[in-house]
Amino acid sequence: MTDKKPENLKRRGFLLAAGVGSAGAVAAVAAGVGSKSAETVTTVKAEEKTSGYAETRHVSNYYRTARV
Amino acid sequence: MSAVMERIAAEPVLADEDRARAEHYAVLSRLFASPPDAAFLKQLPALAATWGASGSPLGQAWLLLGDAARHAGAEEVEAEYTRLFLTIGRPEVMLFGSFYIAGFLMEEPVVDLRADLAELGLGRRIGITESEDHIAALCDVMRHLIVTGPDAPGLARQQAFFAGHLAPWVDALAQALENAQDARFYSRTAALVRAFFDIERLAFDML
Repeated sequence: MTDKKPENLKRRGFLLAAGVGSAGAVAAVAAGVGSKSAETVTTVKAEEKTSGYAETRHVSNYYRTARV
Repeated sequence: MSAVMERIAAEPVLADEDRARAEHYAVLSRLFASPPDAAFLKQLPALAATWGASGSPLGQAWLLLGDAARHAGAEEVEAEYTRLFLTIGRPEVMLFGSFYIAGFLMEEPVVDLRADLAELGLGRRIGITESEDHIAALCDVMRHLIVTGPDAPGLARQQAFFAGHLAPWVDALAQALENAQDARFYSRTAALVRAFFDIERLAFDML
């Protein structure tokens, strides 16, 4: 495994010493955070990429605000 | 199968430090994606109890943020979020990388970022109106790259993404947060932003 390489041990030691370690106690908290934050970025399906015009929420928002 | 699904399907086991890194990115994303609600504000002191320490910049940053969250109400923080980040015209603190790198919103850095995201099989969800260089979106990408790729090629992906899209401007963001006028909560997120990204930068240099 690449983890055994000395530079990775050095990096790991640095992270632990800097205080980025021991995640156990807060795993549940961050899991709750994660499920929400993961919504921002998701995969783009091929058909979404190539469909050209689509009435997205952004577009319908525009239509709504442009109405006189 | 897309690159994203392949990475997710692999379900790698994470070392403690990678889980902690992923959680820091999750927290930073949540802090800036939208105003923190009361439940999240309540979780911050608990996180500070785990990561807070007087002996390191990151530990001190956590103690400061935990303390700020303990004395802040959700409504007050929401008002501050709106005032600092969402004002029509020129918000006091910009959360978009393009502004710091290129001097304007939606400039070339966003174009480069979109190309890199496309290569990773990632993109903005329909209905999200913020551009991809929002700090919360970039933290989400880093978190995704960490949990799906703790191995050497994965670390190389993380390093390239961090160097290209976060390292050039996160210090300036921390500075702007620190200088924010009349801010009681978000000015105290600056230390965490600075300390955590400093660690990331130094750690990537060791690869």
